[in-house]
Amino acid sequence: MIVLKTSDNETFTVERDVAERSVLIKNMLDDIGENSEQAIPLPNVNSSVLKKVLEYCEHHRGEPLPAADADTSQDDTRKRTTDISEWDQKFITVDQEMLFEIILAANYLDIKSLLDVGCKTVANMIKGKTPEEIRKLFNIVNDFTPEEEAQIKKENEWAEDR
Amino acid sequence: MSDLPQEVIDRIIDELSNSIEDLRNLSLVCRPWLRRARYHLFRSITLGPQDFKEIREHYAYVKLKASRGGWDPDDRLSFDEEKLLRSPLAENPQPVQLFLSSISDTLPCVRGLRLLPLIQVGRGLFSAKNYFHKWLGFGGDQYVPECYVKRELSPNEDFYERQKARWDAVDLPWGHGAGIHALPFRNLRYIHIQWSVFSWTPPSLSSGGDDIPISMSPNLWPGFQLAMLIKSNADTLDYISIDEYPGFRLDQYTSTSNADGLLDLLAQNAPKLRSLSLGGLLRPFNPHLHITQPSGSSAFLSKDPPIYPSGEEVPHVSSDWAFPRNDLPLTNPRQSSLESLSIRGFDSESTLLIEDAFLNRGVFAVTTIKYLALSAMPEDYNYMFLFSKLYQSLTHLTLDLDKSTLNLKLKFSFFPNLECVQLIIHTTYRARINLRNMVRSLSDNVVRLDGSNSGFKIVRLLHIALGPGVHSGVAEQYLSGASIDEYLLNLVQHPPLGLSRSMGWTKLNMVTVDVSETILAEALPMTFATGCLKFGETDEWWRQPIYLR
Repeated sequence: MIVLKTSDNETFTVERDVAERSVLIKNMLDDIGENSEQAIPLPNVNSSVLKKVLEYCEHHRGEPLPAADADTSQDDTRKRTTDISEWDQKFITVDQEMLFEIILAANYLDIKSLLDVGCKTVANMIKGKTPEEIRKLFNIVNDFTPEEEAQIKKENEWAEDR
Repeated sequence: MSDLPQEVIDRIIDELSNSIEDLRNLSLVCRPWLRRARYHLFRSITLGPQDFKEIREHYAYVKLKASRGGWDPDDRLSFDEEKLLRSPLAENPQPVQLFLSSISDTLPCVRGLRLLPLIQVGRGLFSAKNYFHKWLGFGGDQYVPECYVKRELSPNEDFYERQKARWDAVDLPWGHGAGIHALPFRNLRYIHIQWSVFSWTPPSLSSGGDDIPISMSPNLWPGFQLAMLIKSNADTLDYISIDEYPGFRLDQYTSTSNADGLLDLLAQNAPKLRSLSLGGLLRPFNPHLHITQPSGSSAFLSKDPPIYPSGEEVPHVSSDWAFPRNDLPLTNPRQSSLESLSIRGFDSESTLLIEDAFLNRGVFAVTTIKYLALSAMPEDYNYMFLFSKLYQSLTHLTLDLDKSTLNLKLKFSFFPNLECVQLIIHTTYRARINLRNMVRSLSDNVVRLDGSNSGFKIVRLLHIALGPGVHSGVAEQYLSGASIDEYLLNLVQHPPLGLSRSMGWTKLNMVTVDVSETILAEALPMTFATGCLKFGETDEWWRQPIYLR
């Protein structure tokens, strides 16, 4: 069993194969060796988020992990789909704040499949919305001047329909 | 959301990379989103000449039409016209070079470039020759009187001055004083060029440019530009597609120095090339294309060779350019990484010369080629000669079912590693027989009676695609008229009745056709009942790299 310690000092005891869904934790365990009973500190994740993340890891335990280089940010040959499995969809139906917390935790803990589910969910929320609607939805400040916006719109016209 | 690290924002944007409208919106959200959205928006760019005056006039016309409210059927806007009205570029067009400089930070992300030769005038698209002759009113030594009427010029006006000024205002993406190699792309993976794009840069009109070598012979000019553009992208370029190529003709070989050097040029300047698509001037018959009937008894329709406004032909790549002088052509195959080869629309002489370059001169090694597409081949084309050299490496094969394949006996067992076959049906009077012959020949091959004991073989997919002008109603007639149901059934059943595995046989996993399953159930009921026959869109894997889809 592995002990994980969150930013708000809560500890979670989980089975090793569940914790090792996180590449970060797996690497840490590899570094500190088999028999260490030391709690692994996760200063970037609070207990409510880790609880959710572990629920995900528990559900997907035993599934093959994606190859390390299979999904780099520059990889544009990956077949993109915004489909999410039914269980994952239910799992990720949380309020917006929690959604972003989960994404941040998945990114920090290096759990690619969870990060994927989170990003796909946000992408589905964005789909079909105007820039203003997207800004409003996610509380983003528009840092373009009207002139810059007009110029970007014009340049974007060069992009090909596909 | 603004707290998310950039790599996560990029990832979210990546999820929407196939939706151009979403990408446009994402680019306008805020600065951190712009770069990644543009990474996808501008993964591929199409450039061609523009006439701003025409674009503005056409926009004004469509706007006027829209303002009439569409009561008259003639005033109803088409989909393209409505789209045009929403485009800020149509209202106020932007020169290509200005656009390219304004996205200079995105240019390293542009992976695909298509260079197209036609210019839009009103709703029509014109070649350089037609634009000069019929629209600008000059070209060569003549002017065209009808142009006075079209352009509302009075006979007293200084015709040449007016038209010269108009020509100078035409926006050539590479600039009036330069060639296509002046374009600022340096990380392209894919280039598509229609050869007639070179019609827009005739040396006589470009003379005096900063980017043109003084000693450049007009005959070397297109090859020079192509070589320079490719060389600038040599580290990244893996797919080149050239269409309307006027080379590989025996008459060009009357002097050795005029032999075709395109393949040598590509091999020398694009060392990482993986896909090559070569298109000639011949086309299978398509009533929707405006092409001229060739003289003589040729079985094909041919496009006109690309010509300069002066009437001279745009030259092919001369071997003078490809080889340094006194350097002999290669005799041993190069080490090449070419995996995909597509050849279409060349005449018999041309295909011989292309085969010679591949098979005898070894410009590219053929043993690495997995994907082969042969389309609009000459009637007397000997497929089996090329197949005999590539049979071991081929995994994907695409063939047009036209006159050239009527007597081709294609056998699965001939290709030990074949995974997919794609057959394209065309509207010809022998379409049914052609389809029947081909499928029967594949089906006959189920039993391999050659004594080999290599067990059974699996071919993943046979796809039947519809060529231009073949709509699904016609396709249904072809499919039922060809009586191929039994043959297909034989291919997908395992093992065929009365055969044991030890005899060796081929199993076809799936047959797809580019028509609805209702039609398939009607036309091919026995195969459809097995569940191995389905609708499938025609996959352009043999032409388009995945990163451009």
